[in-house]
Amino acid sequence: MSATIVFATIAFVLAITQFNMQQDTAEATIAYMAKKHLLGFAELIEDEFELIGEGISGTKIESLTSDSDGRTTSFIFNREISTVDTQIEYRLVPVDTVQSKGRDVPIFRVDRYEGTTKIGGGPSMLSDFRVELLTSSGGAASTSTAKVVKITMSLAHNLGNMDDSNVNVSYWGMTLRPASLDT
Amino acid sequence: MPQTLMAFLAMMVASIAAYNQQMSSVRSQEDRIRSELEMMASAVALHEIEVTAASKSWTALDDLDDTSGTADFSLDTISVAFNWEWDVRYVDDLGEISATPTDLKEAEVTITHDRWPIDLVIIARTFGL
Repeated sequence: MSATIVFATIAFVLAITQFNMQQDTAEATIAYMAKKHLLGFAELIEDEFELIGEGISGTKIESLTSDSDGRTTSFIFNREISTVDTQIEYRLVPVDTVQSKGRDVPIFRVDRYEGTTKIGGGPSMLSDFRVELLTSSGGAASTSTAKVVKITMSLAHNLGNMDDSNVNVSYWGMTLRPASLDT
Repeated sequence: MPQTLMAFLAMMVASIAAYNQQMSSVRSQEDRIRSELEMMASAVALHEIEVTAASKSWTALDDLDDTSGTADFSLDTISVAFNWEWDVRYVDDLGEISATPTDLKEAEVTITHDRWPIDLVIIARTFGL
């Protein structure tokens, strides 16, 4: 009888330990992959936003629109691609709503357009995306007075089971000073 | 008696394994949180340095030296406060700190967070006269 109780206790402890180890490994892997997606998209944004207005003599930033929560729904600017003036748009597209800690978390994708053609974009796991146009002193600016561009976004991990992860959102931000906005 | 000792030993080994796993899990979680804070701290540091580069003249950079303050990384429902501190010094053409004035100043911003006793991010930029 005692041997059975001891065996059951040890087996239970080891099973819980094994389960926790697997969950921990899965969580770490999901977080790593999510961050990889986020940083990959961030690199695309960084490379392109540095070139806002590059080679453009007219309007460099066309428009910036946001929803009622402050998320950027559309950011349109011009830049030169292979000597052709090209209008670029980063457009926020809702894809899903998931639950986390009793709260609705809307999930988005950012599509990138060259003119009217969709070329590229980000992962369909973004929980926020914001572009802010700033003056050189960091205050709010309009499309015509912007010297600095600040981008922030977040990406949700483990969609559908967000509460299974202790760290379930990754955040990223960058402030850029596109050379052509300085002129 | 030997069986009791064996049972005790087995339970002790299982307990140690469970404890080690728990500690590993806590460390792993702390690492992930620190990694997230580092990303946010980088955003704060870049914002500080870009706005400084856009708004300060070469001469005015001196005013930043040894100044400190706080700045938030805010997005959606979260807002995390970070501490920043500036160091500005003269450097030579090789980027080495110079005791005498040169035409180059290196402005370095260090970002810390109250939860961690370390510098989360340090970013420096050199400004020419």
